[in-house]
Order: sequence, then C-alpha cells, then structure tokens
Amino acid sequence: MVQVTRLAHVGLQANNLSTQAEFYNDRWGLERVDEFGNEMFFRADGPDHHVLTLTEGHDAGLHHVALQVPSVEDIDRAYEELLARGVEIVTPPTTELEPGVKRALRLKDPDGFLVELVAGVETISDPFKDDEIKPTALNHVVLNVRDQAQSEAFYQEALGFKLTDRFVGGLSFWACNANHHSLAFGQARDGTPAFHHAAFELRDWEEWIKAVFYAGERGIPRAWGPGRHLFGNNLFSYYKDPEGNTVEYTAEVEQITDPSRQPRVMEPYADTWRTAR
Amino acid sequence: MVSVTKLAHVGFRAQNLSTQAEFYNDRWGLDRIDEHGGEMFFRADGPDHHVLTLHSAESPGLHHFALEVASAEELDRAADELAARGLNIVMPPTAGLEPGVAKAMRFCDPEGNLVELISGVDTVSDAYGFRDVKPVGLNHVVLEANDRVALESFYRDVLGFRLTDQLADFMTFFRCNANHHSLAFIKTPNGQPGFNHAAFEIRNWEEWMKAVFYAGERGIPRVWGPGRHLAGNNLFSYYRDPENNTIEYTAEVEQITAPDYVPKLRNPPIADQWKTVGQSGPGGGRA
Repeated sequence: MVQVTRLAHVGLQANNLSTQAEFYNDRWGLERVDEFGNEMFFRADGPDHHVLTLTEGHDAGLHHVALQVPSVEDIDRAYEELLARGVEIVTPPTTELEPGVKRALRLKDPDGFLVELVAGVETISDPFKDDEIKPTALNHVVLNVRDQAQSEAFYQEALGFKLTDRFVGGLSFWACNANHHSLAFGQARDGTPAFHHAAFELRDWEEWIKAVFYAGERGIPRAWGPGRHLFGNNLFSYYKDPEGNTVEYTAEVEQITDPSRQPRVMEPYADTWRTAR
Repeated sequence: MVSVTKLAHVGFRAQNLSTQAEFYNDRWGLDRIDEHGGEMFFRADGPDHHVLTLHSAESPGLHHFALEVASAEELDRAADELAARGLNIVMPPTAGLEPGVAKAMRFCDPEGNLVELISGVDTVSDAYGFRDVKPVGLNHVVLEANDRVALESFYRDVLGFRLTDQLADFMTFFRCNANHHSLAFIKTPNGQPGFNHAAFEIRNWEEWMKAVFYAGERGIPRVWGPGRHLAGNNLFSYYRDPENNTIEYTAEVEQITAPDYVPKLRNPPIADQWKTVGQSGPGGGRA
C-alpha cells in the first residue's frame, strides 16, 4: 500500500486565470511564487513551496489534488503498485511536472479526479508578504463522489487513508496524519462527481476571526459561517471565489494523536454555534 | 416639541427572570447592577447606570424603551405637551420609578409601545468586571409599525427625531443626536406592531469580531451576520436571547456631524455590504 503522509496542494482550473490569480493573491491572502506556461503557483505563510495551483482551462473547478509521500523512491514504488491495481496513470513518475516538487506522478481516482502524488516539496524561508489575512496552509479537500463506498475503499486501500468520523448518510472524514481530515467524501446527489470545497488554515482563532472580518470588507461572498463544526471541532467560514469554487477559512482543527481512538458515527450536526441557515 | 437627546435603555418582559438575567450577565456581556421587586438593571461598559432592564412578566417581549431629555424641567414640559396631544400618560413625572434615574414618566406611543422619558441618569464610575465581551452602550432600537408613516411623524414632530436614511420604501432610520439612528422603523410583516430588535454597541471592529466569536462559543443562536449594513455603515450580527428577543452586536455606526446633512435614500436597498449569501435578516428580508 502507498502511504500518503500529507495533503500537499490543491489545483483549480481557471476559466479566467488573471481574475483568479488576483483573487487568491490580493484578497484570499496567498502569495504567487511562480508561474510557467498556463499554470500559477501560490504559497501560504508556511514552509511549502505552494499550496494552490491555478491552471488555465475552459471550465472552472477542480484540476487536481496533490498528496505527499515520504520519499522520491516512494513515487516509483507507488507507480508499480498502482499499475498493478489497474489504476489509470496519467503521468508516470517525472521530475519535470512543476516547480518546487522533486518527483511526482498523476493518476485518476475511481471518479476520474486527477490525483497527484508528490515527494520532495521545496521549503521556502523567504518572509511572507504583509497582509491582514495570512493562511498558513491547505488543511483539507472535500469531494462529492459518484459512489462513496467505492471512493472510500480506494483512498483507504490504495493510498493509506484512515476513517476518523462519519455522518450517517453524509460526509465521511479521512486522515493521513494527525490532522482530523485531509480528505472528506460525500455522495454526489445527482451522481455527478464534483469538487465540494478546499479549506485553508489560519494560525489561531484570532487570526481566523480577523480573516472573517477582512473577507467581508473585501466583498468576498460568504456562503456559510462563521461557525464551529462538530466533527474536527474546527472553526469554519465558507466563501465563493470569483469562479464559484467554494473555499473555506478554518482554524483549530482537531489533531488526533491517540492511536486507539475509534471513528464516531453520528447523525449530521454541522454547527455547534447554532447559526440559522 | 420635546427634544430627546439620547436613547437611554431598553426593557424586556421576562417570563423566566433568572434565565434571562443569567443570559445578559454571563453570556451577552452586560453587568447586573441593581434589582428590586421583579425588576433587574444591567449596565454596559460605559458611564450610564443601566442600558437594559428586565421585568418579571407572564409573557416575553418589549416592556418599554427609554429616551433621555435634557433636564427635569424639560420632562415636566414634555408631560404637559404629550397630555395636550391626547397621548395616554401611563405614569406622570415621578422621582421614584427606578434606581439610577432622577425623574421619569411613561406614555404609550401611537402604536401602543410603552415609552419612558427620563432625565438625570446616574453615571457609574466603578471599573467594569472582567469580560471577554464588553458592550459599551445601547445603540438603537427598531420598531415594527402598522402605520409606519404615522409613527415616524410622531417621533419626528413630537419628540424631535430627524430622518437620516431610508432603505427603499420599507425602512427608515431616525436620529436624536450624532448617532446615525437611535430609532428605526419598518412595516410589520404580520400585522403585529412592536419590537423588532435592540442593538448593543461594541467599542471597535476588533472587539466586535471577538464578540461574534464568543457568542458562537457560548451557543447563542445567531440569526444573521456578521456583516456590514449600508445604511449607517455599521457592523452587525444578530442573535436571539433565550426568550426569543432579537438583539444585535454592532460597531462603527456612522456619526452624523455635518449640519447640512441630507437624508439618504438607498435604492436598491442593499442590507449587507459583505455579500453574505442566502442568509435572511431579522425582519425576514433577504440580505
């Protein structure tokens, strides 16, 4: 089994690359670090070379999700193993896929979502720009899938994710390290797989509530929140980017360090802050 | 004409006085300063003796709101004028109505809201206790009216309020000092005139944002916000107290100081400059 150790970055396809770049750089609080061809790379106020990529393309939405494995050798091992499982490989192991990443490959998951495995992510020590909102990392990505059980089995068996919590008839939350969930899956209501949202982390609740304030002042449409989730205990506030992708500011996500902890299964209970929706 | 200088306090009827007192003292951030009989008095982190009163009663809702006038003489003159205009004087000017107030009277406005006029409010200089959330004052009260135009005329022509702002043809904002509005009026959606909400002010946006956080952590149900209104440019976040009264945390309310200020008419009547999606206001209107 391939053992994913981290969610590395999320890639969005941008119908209008310059509008999206302006949004993520000037309003969402990320910083553009590189660009080549039709791709742009954005870092957060953390060590990773990038946490978001934008790829120019016709339709807005998810381009890919990147998951990190411990070493460049793991990329090659993963390649053999995924081939043996019959997984569709889009890009075999390469050193040339993107800046800031030593070795990577791309595959398709059961829904056709493009998943990238990366190893050797460059760290950046340059000081981050001055901004009122400074996300420190990408925290999680949520996908609506055609067959929830099938997707769960794939990420569990092929990539080493573990179930942390599950809402009956709702989202299931999956971890690849202490972080409560790096991926979550929900059943697509109309059977069409789709990107649900990506969450960017703020340092603490004070930075997070400041982000809620400045997002308001910057006219970023808020879809839900601020509030606090039951599963993961994280603070949340959801927004729409200019192309309709849902993005979240989160903080205080539960870190699971007890190896004997068992997954909880509960009726959906989204917001302990009791916001009307 | 009577000249009101300030919105002084708001009073709620409390079906369960201890639950409501616990809420306003321990969770909303006010400080109980006095009580007698079935009445309790709460101050904010400001000079006024109280900004909220609770009155033990059979049913919850607005009990009264209080407007301040400049002097005891002004209060007597107001009583004469209101009586001459045929308003129902519920209590003539008296010195013994409540602690912290030198003189007060009560009457009913044209839609039956109990209004108190007061003069001589004690100032409290005791340090405010430690609180994560510290409202500094009562900022405004909004009323739902059957005949909005008639009610506005009363507050304008009899009590000296001036129009500041208007959202299309459904909401008007009136001031009695520099504060953008101390009273506002909307048409009642259900034929029942009366109370819509009361707003408590927080010192600045940082304190206000903290208040939004702690209200969430304390499980106070939020009905709309946080956001920023167009009329008044104030930050808002609306909640329900345990007896379902709608109350607001606000900050950065516009102060009108230009003597030649001209009332604004907002059309389209944008309620929230923060563009919150799909959340409805306390009056049922869409953001």
